Amino acid sequence: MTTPPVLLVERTLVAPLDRVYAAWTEPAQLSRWWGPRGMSVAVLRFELREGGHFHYAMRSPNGDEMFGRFRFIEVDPPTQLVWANGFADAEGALVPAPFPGLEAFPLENLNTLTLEAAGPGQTRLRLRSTPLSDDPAAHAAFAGLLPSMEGGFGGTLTSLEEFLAHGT
Amino acid sequence: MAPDREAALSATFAALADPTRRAMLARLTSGEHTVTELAAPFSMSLPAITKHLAVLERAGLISRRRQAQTRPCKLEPAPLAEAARWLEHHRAFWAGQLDQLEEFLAETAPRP
Repeated sequence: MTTPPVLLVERTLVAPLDRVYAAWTEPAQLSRWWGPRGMSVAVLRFELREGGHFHYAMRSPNGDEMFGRFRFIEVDPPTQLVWANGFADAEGALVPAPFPGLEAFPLENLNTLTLEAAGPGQTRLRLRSTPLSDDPAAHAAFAGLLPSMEGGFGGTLTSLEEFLAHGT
Repeated sequence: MAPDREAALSATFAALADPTRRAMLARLTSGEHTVTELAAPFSMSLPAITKHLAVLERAGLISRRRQAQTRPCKLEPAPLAEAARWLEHHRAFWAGQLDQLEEFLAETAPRP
């Protein structure tokens, strides 16, 4: 996979940088907001270091259970976090995303979170997400792109237009 | 991942790796265009333009009508559908996650 789709998301949050970083990196906080709405997240494993895993269970009120995992790639407090995420089984091994239409993509997505103080008590959040190729050369190419993350997509563009304009 | 689907995705993404080809496809989202029309915005020789179009055609991203003398190019969106689905799904996913992060930050904000 030479040039996968890339999603860029930006948002300004009303909270200082340190609080936002903690919300992403402290398991007791992350588990309170991460995951599908209405499902509770139980932390099964949490190792905030390069190569460490966050393995979690997502449980619905009627007892349905799914698992997910983060594999941390870069931990650079309080401004950057790079990780791969995917669906997992109860043991933490990757499984395909349970959504139609995504079967042809790799099991993990590579996410780069960049935080920047933006005025008093505000934080600019930028997130870059792309399917993570199994091909080491492509992986190196993605890594090279990470620091050059700039701008974002207008919310009004259709996916196709967005993909054609920014699919690098 | 099934090898044939992975190969198809690779061909799509390789074809899309070039900014000229992406600009041509973006132009074709508004309808059919002739080679001359597609070449107009670029300071590029006609053979170079034709080569780009051949890459897009091989990747199945465009088709060209046989009957007309000008052989206009038409966008074939099917190979893009999977990538577009990925973007759509993940845009919605991240919008939801960041909404929940905002709510969490508001709920846990220190009282002034």
